[in-house]
Amino acid sequence: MTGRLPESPTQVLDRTRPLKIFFDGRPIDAFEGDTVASALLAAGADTFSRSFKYHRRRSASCLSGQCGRCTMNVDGRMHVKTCQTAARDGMVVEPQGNLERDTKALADSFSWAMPTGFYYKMFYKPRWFWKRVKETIRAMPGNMGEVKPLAARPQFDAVNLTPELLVVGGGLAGMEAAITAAQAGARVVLAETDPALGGFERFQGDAGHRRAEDSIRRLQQHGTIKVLTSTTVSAIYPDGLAVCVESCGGDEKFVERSHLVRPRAMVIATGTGSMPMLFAHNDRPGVLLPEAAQRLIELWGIEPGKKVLLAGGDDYLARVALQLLDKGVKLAGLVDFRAGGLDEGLGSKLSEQGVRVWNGYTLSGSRGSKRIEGATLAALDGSDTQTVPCDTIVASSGRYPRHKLLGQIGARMVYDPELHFYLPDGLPATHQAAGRLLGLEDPEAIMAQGRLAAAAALQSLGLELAAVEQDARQQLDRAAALQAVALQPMLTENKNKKKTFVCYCHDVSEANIEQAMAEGWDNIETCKRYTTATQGACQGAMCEANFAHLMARKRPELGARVLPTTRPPVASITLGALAAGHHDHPQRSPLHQVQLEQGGQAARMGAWMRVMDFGDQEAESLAVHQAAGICDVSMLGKFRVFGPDAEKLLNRVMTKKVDNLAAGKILYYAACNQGGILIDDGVALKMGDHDYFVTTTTGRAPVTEEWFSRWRREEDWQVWMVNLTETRAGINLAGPRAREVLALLTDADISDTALPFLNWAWLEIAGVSVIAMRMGFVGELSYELLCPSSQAVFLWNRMLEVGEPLGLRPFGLEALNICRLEKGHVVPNVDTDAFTTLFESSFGWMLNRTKTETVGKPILDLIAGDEFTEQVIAFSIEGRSPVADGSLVVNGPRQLGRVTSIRYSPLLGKTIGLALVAPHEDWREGGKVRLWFDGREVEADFAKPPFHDPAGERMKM
Amino acid sequence: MAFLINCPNCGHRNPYEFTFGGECKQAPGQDADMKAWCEYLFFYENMPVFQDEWWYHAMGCGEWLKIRRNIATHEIVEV
Ligand code: FES
Ligand SMILES: [Zn+2]
Repeated sequence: MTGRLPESPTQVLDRTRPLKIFFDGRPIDAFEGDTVASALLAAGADTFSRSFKYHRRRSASCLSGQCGRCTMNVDGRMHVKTCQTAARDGMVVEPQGNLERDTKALADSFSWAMPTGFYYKMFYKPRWFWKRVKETIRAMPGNMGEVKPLAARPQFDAVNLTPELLVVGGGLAGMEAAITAAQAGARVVLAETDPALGGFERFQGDAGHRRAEDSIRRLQQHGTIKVLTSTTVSAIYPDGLAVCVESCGGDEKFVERSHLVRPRAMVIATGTGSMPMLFAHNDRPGVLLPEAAQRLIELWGIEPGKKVLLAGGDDYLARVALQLLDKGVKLAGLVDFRAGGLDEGLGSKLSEQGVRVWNGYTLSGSRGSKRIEGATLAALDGSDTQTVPCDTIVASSGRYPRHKLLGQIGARMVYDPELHFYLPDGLPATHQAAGRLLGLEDPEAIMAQGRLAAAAALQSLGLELAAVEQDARQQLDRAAALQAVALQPMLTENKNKKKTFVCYCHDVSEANIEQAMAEGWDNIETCKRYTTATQGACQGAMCEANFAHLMARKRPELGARVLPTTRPPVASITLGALAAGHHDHPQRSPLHQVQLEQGGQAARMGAWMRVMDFGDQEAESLAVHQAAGICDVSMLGKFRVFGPDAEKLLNRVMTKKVDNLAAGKILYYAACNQGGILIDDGVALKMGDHDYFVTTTTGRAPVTEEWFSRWRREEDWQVWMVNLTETRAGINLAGPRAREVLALLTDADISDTALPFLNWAWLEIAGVSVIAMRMGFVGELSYELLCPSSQAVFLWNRMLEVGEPLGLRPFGLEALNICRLEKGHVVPNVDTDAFTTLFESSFGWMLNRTKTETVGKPILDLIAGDEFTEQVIAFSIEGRSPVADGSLVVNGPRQLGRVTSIRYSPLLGKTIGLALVAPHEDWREGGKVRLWFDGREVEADFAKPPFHDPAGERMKM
Repeated sequence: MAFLINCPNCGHRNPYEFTFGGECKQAPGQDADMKAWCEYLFFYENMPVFQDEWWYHAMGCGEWLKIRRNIATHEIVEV
């Protein structure tokens, strides 16, 4: 397969625009219009991949995205179907594994070691065996490639569309349906898998090409038809959502775009595909499906081979033979397995051109190593066998509807033994099928049927298109209506069944299926699971009908040739396409930028970007103890809760009682869920009558809002909440000199008598009106200042200005963490998890025992006094320890829990931490806590926090 | 997810905008025992028929909606 045929109108190449792609490091010449696969085939490539189980050589065989044998690594992305990917200059294409020297290809000779139902047998018994071999087995599959990090993160887009009609398939029938609907005023989305419209006609010679072009021209006159090419409809869900994944070409910033189409009606015109033929070694490079041969010569001007043998059982194949002859391709002959043989007219046309026709024969095998070198034929009556030299076999059992989407809409595919074809039954009126999918062959009939389908679909929406319908019906009657499209795999016994592949994706042979049936798996649904046939990447597109026929022939009493159930997606879908449209933007505090300018290092923490440190977390924490520091705490959730029922709501969600809260006092509360699990803590301030200001833990604002309003809605209380999280920034000013700093910026009385610990006041600081709260999170004299966001940067800078001479410095989250650990403060959801009750998390003292309406109270009452199942403990290690967050707490071979927070405290000269652990006798004064880190045990001392200032005097200064 | 929720405030919206709040259930009374609470907290009817459930319009108006939905077909009859 080298060089190109002369130019023709059907070709999609722009020969004035040559380009180069790199395959395995070698440059390959191609043209604009080539796909990666066509460029490789033109350059003579044979092997595209190695098979999953036996590492057999496999090659592109369908060139329409169905078989999945052409997948490679393209520009770093894995498992890309090269036949569906436009070649671009400079593209880097790499096979997934070593194509030429695959050491695991030995597996092919040891196929007896991998019996049918391998997975079930392997994973079962004996247990020690699986343990030993699992790593080897996991490394075995072929064409898996190697995951390498990508230079740039690929981007995926998502778009929502709501047309009246979605047409799936841009062939003659689909285009006709779209035009009909557009003429009636409907908005239409037309999705086509190929990069161009035209469908099957694109490669039916010049006549077919003209027909397609004519339809495309008429289609383009309608502005209300949105055409999506290179788009695969991968799933239709019960209420009609169709997920259409477009692969974006060229200079687009996105790799793929997922169109979420919710139409009111649908026309499915997905056409047919050929089923491969069953003969020994039917998977060798050089075995092609007829459509693939047609595409090669018509679209890209590539000869499929130097000597081509055709084999099958319908007249379509003879037409492909004539098409190949017409382009000057040499044929080795044509094998027709029908008893009646080939249509006489076509037969004589072929023999006129010197093509040998074997009527009543079938293929029993292929010969060759890297590529086909010949074929063996067998007469169906067993009277004769022959060997024919050839380098390419174009073979098919017959055509088969691409019916997968119909199954997802609820249709059942019923086998018609007269037509040898599956037809849909039970489609809802809003969803119509059209075109070749229904077994039509004649282009006029196909077009008429497309119009009919659109009319019927729109009629189900109440749009009368009687005239169109009548007209189409007449045309359909005139045309040669349903034609026998044979799908009749000719199954000879006389061949090597072990190497006759039914399912290529998973290397399931005819022999495997026979064995599975002999073991009793004779229902198609169980047999498919047992053998994994039809469950590979092609999702049955290459094997389903062969599989069904094979089973039906072995067990005729099963009756109809049932197809396995179809489920979304019909083709493999990237995770990127599924995740598309969920845009993730971390929140930034109003003080974010100014801190970065001052040397802050930021990192993502949950929903927020947070400044972790200003270069030296330990020095920052010492400044808080020795002088003063300021820290951005804008991420605290902040709410105004007000209305006649405000108290009812707060008493419901908080562990403490809010009624007696005095003006100027800070109420520190915890919150539980209905199971008594600690979920949050924060403070409440009384701002006026039935008017409160409430804070929640960092980053929890959205959840709090959801939680509070759920209770409001359940009880229909008259209470409102306003989320002030983003309108109020927060600065924590802490340290023994904090008051001195503040005094430089305000005239207000901020003495300990005027504003004592756990009190708050409205203050004017540097002219900015703030809520100032005396809190103790870091264990020193500290003020949490909540100011309008727009004034936060000003206030921050003013505090730095006046504070720096006193030793004040900004500190980040890390220093904050060190300080709160020195105090032994537990942070909900960091030091606790979704199973830690209020009691276990050491917050039990915060529960108001007499208030009954608290969420979680009934359960807490029931478990009060029970033994803990887990608890939060503190520990310390002398000096600096490398043990990190998340390390295990162990006791011999037993895991007791994990370290939730651990930091080195420069103040104490110790490493201190908290752990969430199961109860144990060692959790007592003098007990040891054993941590598992980096493969060894590290001993720590159980400790009773706080580590620093146990009497709590410093924060009350 | 393949259905839309018709929010009284925001119109037909993708369910990804919502947080699912579970089946609408009656909480046990104040002096119910542990068994009743466990049933309430951890067990669901989950029958393939219409059920009443909570949905929170997190990426919309922020309202909790009570929805009657057929969990087998996703058909929604009442918001
Ligand atoms: S050749 Fe690409 S999927 Fe078949
Ligand atoms: Zn809403």
